[in-house]
Amino acid sequence: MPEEVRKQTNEPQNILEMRGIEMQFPGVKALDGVDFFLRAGEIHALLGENGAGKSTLIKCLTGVNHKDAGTILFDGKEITPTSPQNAIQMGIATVFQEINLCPNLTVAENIFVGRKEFKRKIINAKARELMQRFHLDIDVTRPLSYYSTAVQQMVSIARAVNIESKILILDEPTSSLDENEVQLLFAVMRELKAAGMGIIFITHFLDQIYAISDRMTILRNGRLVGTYDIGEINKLQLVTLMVGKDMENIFDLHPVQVAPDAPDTLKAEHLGAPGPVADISLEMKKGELLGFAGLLGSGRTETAEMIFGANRPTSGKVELKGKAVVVKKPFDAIMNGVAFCPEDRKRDGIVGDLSIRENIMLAVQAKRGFLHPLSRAEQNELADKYIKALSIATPDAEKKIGELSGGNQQKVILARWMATQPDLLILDEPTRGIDVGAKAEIQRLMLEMCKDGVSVIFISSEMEEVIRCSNRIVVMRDGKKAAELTGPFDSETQSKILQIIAEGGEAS
Amino acid sequence: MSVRTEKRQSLLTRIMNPKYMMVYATVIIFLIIYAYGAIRYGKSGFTTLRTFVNFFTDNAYYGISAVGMTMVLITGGIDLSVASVASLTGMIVAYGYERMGISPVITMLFSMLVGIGLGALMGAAIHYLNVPPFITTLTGSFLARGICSLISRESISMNHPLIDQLAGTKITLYHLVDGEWVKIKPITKIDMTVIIFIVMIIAGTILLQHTRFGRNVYAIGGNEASAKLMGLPVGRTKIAVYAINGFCSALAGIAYVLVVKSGWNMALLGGELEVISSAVIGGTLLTGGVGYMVGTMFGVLLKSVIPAIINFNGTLSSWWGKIATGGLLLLFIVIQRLVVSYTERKRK
Amino acid sequence: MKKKLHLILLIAGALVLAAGLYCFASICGMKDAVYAGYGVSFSDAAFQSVFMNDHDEAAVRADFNAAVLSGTGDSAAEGTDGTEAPDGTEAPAETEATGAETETAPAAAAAGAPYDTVIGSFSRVSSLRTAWRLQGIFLPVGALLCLAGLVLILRGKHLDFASIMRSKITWAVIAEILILIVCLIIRPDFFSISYQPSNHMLYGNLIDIINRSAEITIIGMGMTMVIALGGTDLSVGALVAVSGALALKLMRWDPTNPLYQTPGDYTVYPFILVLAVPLLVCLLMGLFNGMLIGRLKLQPIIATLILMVSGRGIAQIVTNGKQYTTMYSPFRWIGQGSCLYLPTPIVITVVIVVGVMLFVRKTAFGTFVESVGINANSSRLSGINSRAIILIVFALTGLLSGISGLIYSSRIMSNDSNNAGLNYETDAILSVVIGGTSMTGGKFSLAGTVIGSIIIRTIVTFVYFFGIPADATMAFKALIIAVVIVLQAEPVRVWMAKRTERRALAKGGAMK
Repeated sequence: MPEEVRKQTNEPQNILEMRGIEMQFPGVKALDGVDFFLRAGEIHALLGENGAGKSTLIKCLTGVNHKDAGTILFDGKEITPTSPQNAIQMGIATVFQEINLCPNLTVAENIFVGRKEFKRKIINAKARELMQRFHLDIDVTRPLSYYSTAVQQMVSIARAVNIESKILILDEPTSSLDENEVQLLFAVMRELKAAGMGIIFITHFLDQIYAISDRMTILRNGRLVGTYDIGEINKLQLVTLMVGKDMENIFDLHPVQVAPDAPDTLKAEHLGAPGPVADISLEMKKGELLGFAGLLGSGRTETAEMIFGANRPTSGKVELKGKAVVVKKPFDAIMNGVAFCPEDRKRDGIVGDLSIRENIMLAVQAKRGFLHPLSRAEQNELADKYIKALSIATPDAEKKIGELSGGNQQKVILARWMATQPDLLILDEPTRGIDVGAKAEIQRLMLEMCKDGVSVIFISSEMEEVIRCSNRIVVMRDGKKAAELTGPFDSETQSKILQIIAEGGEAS
Repeated sequence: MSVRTEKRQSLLTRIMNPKYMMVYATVIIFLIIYAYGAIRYGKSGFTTLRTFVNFFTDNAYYGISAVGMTMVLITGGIDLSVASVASLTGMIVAYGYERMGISPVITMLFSMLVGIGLGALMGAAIHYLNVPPFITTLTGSFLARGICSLISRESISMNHPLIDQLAGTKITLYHLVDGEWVKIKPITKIDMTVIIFIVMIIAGTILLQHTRFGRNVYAIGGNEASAKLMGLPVGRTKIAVYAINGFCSALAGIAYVLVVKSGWNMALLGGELEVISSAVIGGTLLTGGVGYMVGTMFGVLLKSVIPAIINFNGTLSSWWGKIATGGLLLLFIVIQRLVVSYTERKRK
Repeated sequence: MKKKLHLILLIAGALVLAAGLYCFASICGMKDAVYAGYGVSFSDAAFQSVFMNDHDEAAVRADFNAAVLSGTGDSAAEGTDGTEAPDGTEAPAETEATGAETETAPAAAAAGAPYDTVIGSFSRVSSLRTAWRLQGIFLPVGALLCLAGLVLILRGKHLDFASIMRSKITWAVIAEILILIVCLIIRPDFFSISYQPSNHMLYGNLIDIINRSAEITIIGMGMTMVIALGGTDLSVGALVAVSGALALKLMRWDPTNPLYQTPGDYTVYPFILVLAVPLLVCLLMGLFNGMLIGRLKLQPIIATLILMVSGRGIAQIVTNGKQYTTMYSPFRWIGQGSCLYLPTPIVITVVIVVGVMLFVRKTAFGTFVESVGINANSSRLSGINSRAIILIVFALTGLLSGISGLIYSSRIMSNDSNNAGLNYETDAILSVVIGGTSMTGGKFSLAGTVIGSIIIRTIVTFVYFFGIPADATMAFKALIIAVVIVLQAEPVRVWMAKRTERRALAKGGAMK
């Protein structure tokens, strides 16, 4: 693969031409001379690791940030979007990663607020029509907060699609959608593409890129790597280009051997809560890594939360290290040696304005109670130890955790729990939304902890990761345990798991 | 067939839409308390039309101000300056005529401009400088009351034919008896302030429910960051809302002048809390995004019913009114809490 | 150079402080001599009218003799000062010592003694004048320098100039100093401090400012943490009224007396109970707030609105709408007495501020409060019992409001359910915000709140020195607060930071 930067030729059908875009944040050059060209009637994937500059580029285009240098040609005319409103008026519609709608407005109002139409009757009828296009049969006069995240995401896409715009930007639209909904979205995208709209598609899921995109542009560290047709490079080449280093031996990881006579760490019987999960039984040995596979919403997270006490189970019992325990709140679980890295790092994990040191010591301190504080020296020692051990990239322990990159934040959360010296560590999607290098590092850490005798529950949407690291895999489907596979695993395991998930779906 | 079921369903769902729950709760509690009063003190005249109209008259100026406050609360803000601005208005009108000989018409218009201007200024500070509304409007409140005190430190009573005429303007209620229109006895009249109050409620409803501006107001209260990304004119709307609220405060001040016919620098002290609690009792969420003018109106009525009952009772100290208001607030926010958690649970 | 900075500061501070103390001592020496020789305590006001008029020796001699012999230099005027409502309406507490001149003049001429015994020569007079002016400047400046040196020694490792300039507290301190400088220009002896032997208390504008800010500072300690949790407590003012009402009710209540009332100079219940019951009730009311917020997850502003609205009603019902007064002297000591040569409220405030600071920073409580305020979800999942934290913070605020209420009612020796603690909630919230704690919650600064509360009180004093009617204080409060808040507003600070950065860049570019 040629490593030199490939530039596109100036083609007449380009609807959008961004040239030499530069953007400076305090201390960082977020974009450094990036070129990006979008044709009418194509789906163009924008790729790169976290911090590569994808979002910043989009924000320059939609007027959220203002570029420092470079030109944007839209439809042959130079534009400088000053605000999202301005961009929308020019014909650039955006669906952001986080749902940007108003939960108190009705579905119809959310789609049409700020538009020409605003009479209730008209917008309700139009909204109903629009939602039918997405095969969603919902009451559009209810407040948005009434519906699930997936529906909300579809509504936000519907809102963007409904604008008579020439460019549609989809920033990670699929992260909260299940497979069916993704297919629906793709169908709509194809329709729009046929109508001549240019679509910029940002996602972390490589499969989806190959399923829908025509071309892709790769960014790395704020610089352009190149633009390729979809058939031009394969997945491995793509990942290599994104990461900038050879992928082959990054993921040279293997499950840790568990002694057959190791004592049980966790024994959960018939755990259940109305709605999400029913009748889950688990058993784990010391030093074992148990993988959870299954689709989003299949009950993986809910099971983990029940063990940790974040949600109270209504039935069943839990034994930790052979002792029956009642876990009413997270604190009880922590006192019994359980640790839990939640799925939504930003909402449930980090305490943004506190320093790395304070974030690391939080759980240990909670375990001790606030009347028995760690001295400043002990805190510093703890923080320095884990910053070194997990190679957290930071100048010092006093930096705010909110200012770190996603991967480093995740490492700090991991450090918070490692510091409590748990017997059972539950990791819910620890690798989501972080770059490939950090992913590998986190998995390596996980396996090292297993070696030290910690039992780990590893939940991830990326099946390859689960298969690579686990001793056993629990496959979840529709809030129930569908199967339990015991290692060692081979290349066929993935298709087997997929089959279990898919067939289960058919059966019900 | 299928069309018809869909229509019937949609009517039912429209009525049972969770977003109206809080308004229903306010109305129901008002009715319960009113019914209690009617049963206990029906004989002593609690059920007369006059008593009912008095519910409006008693707190009309708070009601007028509550119209603007509801909008501010819906955007997720708060305005603590309303009572001070109203007091300043009264002072301007009274001082202008009594000490400077300016016609009340001019001073009224001028004080409305002052209200709008101060409101817009505070809105701009909140939006552009990111100063919390609580602090900004508190400062505005100090400023208005301070200016008020600079103008005059004592109460100025005023005597002007126009004010008397406005205060005297009343609509007499008639009813049909044997094909003839007869005055209702005991004579029931509706004051000018009540007319302003009701007109403002209607105007507020139209503005909130049937204009693009109103929808933007709700959107900003729902999620301001989203509203910005959706391309809504957030800054303009917020400033306009505070300006409208300033206008309502000035109007409330004028209504207050019509009642007391004087200007005083310490008038309506603590009134902002009366206004805010009326809106909250009327189902407006302090977190923003939810609230209806009709609810606010019933909130104001509820605040008149309780003192009325204490009055009719005759043995209770009037201080119980404050405690009852506190209890009512508690009741309401607990209901709000339950409604919110109910809808959340249902979603899961 | 940088390493030696703290030493230089400390030494300079000590020198200036010593100079200030020397000035102070020389004035005290003169006053003591008057007290010892004539049994008259020579007040500030008298001192000022005798020495500060730039009169020649004969006039000063006559004035001094008149003041000492007539005994007008007594401290009665200063004593009443403490009983006035602390809302800025107090009148100037100056004693017109010269007013008594006419009748005592012959006697003074006959005796002629005090001036010659105590003062001696006219050069002493001018040096006293200078001492009087200088000590007020030397003492605070010296104290500030010493403080800065101490701060550097204790926290030197973590300080850098850029972050100091970015800190909101810095701006609050600068604002306070600016106001004080203006005061100093208007009245050169603004900072002067003097000692009153008759009631063992130091007097002076600075001390008065701190004394009068005591209630707000005490409440502010709780309010800071309430705001750090992302909330506000509107009920503090009402709790002040409740506390005062309960204390006075208990002090005057006598079940054995047919009128159910004591005359007011003794109590039937033990004094400790009189103090404990109001505090306990306020603590419980704070707990009630905490329960609503922690358990029912209500918004703090609305949950505390309940007690704010009904609290004054409760206070009225406790006293049955009556306004009791008392003359019970142990109770007077709380608000008007002296302790360690300072007004008691100052000592109480210092004890509470230090206590709360130790509790918050020496345990992990402060970190937990910040953590819950920034991200309640994460905190819960890290095992922090946020409910307990919320409960403790609101209960503490309730208790502190109660203490504040006792001080207030001791100042007026009465209860006033309508006006006690009026607007305390807004003043407390303003002090917290001026002190640099953000209304959105998170990191908080107790020291900042102390400064904020002092700023608010300084504004009141400032306005009073301008001779502006007290009612208009609010307008000036608004203006000054507006300036402070605009300076602290995030967009403004970001803009200024960018400007300085750009300037630095431009400079760097030029150098290259």
